[in-house]
Amino acid sequence: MMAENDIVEGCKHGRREAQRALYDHYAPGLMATAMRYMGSRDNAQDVLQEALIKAFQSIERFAWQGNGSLHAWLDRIVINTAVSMLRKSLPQTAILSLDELPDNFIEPDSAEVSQIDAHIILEMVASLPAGYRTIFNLYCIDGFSHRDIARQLGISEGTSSSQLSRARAILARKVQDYLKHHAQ
Amino acid sequence: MSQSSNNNSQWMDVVADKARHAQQPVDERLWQRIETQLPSTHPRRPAWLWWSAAAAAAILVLAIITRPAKTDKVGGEVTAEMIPVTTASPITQAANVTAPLPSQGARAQSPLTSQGRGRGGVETHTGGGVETATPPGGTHVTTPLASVSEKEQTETTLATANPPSTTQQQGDPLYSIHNYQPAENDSQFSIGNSQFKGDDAQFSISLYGSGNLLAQNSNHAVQRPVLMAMGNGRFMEAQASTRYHYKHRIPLNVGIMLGKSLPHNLTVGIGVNYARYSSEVSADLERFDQTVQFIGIPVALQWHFWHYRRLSAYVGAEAMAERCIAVDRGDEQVDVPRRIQWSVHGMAGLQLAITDHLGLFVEPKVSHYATRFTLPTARNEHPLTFNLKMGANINF
Repeated sequence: MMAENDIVEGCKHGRREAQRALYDHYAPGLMATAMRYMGSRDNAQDVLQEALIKAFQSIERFAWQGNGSLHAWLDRIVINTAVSMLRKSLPQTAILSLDELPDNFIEPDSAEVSQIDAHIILEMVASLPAGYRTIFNLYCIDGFSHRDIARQLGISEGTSSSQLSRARAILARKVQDYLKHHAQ
Repeated sequence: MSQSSNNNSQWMDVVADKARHAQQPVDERLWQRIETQLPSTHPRRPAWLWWSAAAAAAILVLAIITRPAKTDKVGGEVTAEMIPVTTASPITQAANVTAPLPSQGARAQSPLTSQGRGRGGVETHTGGGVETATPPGGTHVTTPLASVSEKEQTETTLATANPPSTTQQQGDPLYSIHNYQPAENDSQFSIGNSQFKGDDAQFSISLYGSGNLLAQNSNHAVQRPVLMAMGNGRFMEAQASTRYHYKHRIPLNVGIMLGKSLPHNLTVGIGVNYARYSSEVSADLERFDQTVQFIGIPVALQWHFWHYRRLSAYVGAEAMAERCIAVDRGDEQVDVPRRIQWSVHGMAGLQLAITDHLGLFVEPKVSHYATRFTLPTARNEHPLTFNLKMGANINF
């Protein structure tokens, strides 16, 4: 296994083995990121492909700042690529009526949630409607503010906030259903 | 279980943490698809090399097309050049020997000897009564071929005459230049005896290409919040401006101009110009190409003030109205500016006559773009730019 810094330097020199090492080491994690944004495996692969090509093309400008910085940089490229792709389809899919959902919902217990496998959690997130999924990912997982989400997606901060509440409500219901059916 | 609130609660932190560290298997074919789109590890030839090769090929083709014939005429007389038999090219000699033998009594000329007639008057005759005479001062060679009968021998006549003093009148049967019809207005004979015919031509067409040899870099800040990547994989918002760095490539200009000669060595011209400005744009995470294309109509006036043999020098001025026809800026959608772009140019050029119809020119040029738009391109960096224009003139 090549060290992260060696991968960066090798990729900057266009060495194929370094590019392959980057792919082998980071692609599974990046694929999960793409999956939770795109919802489907096929779309996620398209995003990952485009993001990695962008990364290889622009790695000369990447400044390595210690272990973890390369993954953070790659993750950001995947997110940007996914959001860019979603932005084109969001206006049609973002507005879904979920009026039947109550504003207040029963939250799952964190101890019980921690027992759920990561890939199950990932599937739950990926199964959210596209608009809610995007905002949930940006805000809850990747740390974006409502203001920045609003700017990126071309919506108001209020819309971002309300859609996030509904995304959390849907996800909570999914988690509870899962726990109910898989309770030991 | 507890009631919800708008803030992330513990269960959400668990979900986020699990989602953030999840992994998914990746299809092996994905790497193959990525690899095919990665640049080769072999260094690429720079683009200017291809353009130069294409320009050289185009000039070569033009030179061949407009190349004068090899037979010279002075005052309606035919002047054959002196080419001794012993110095005839191996190709010509080989062609004479290996040319297929026609039937008895027939007369044949191979393409090579036919082409060479103007220069050396080389002809191949079969036997059978065809007599050739040795011209004064020339050489007559008869080459019998062992494989043919005595009557079917091939004679190679190299009619070489002494220059100007031994010129022969057209139609003289003793000479092997047959059926030559001198044309009074045959322009092929002006080369070498007079100045470049383009000096007297009424119209000319110029094909040219030019480029700004000084590619510039620049930085432009755009007020847009960016997210700063942190080492632990999380992102924190930072209110900062995205600073785009532009690396401008050499702009490409190609065009065609139709010129008309005026009195006092003046030439006025109008044409069509295509300009392509390409830049590599990079921000903290983004990198994309920006291409801006223009179509313009230049109007030029030139004064040829100096002539020496095949060289001439000129100065000129040009004004051009351009319109942007396309902007390609990565994923960003940019409105194509609709304003007309005005520019003025001054130039000094040197022209070399290759043939009487074809000339090459090189033209240092200074340009000032009066109206500019905000999208950064190489032309926007400085009000004045220096270009080198090169091209070919076809005169008629």
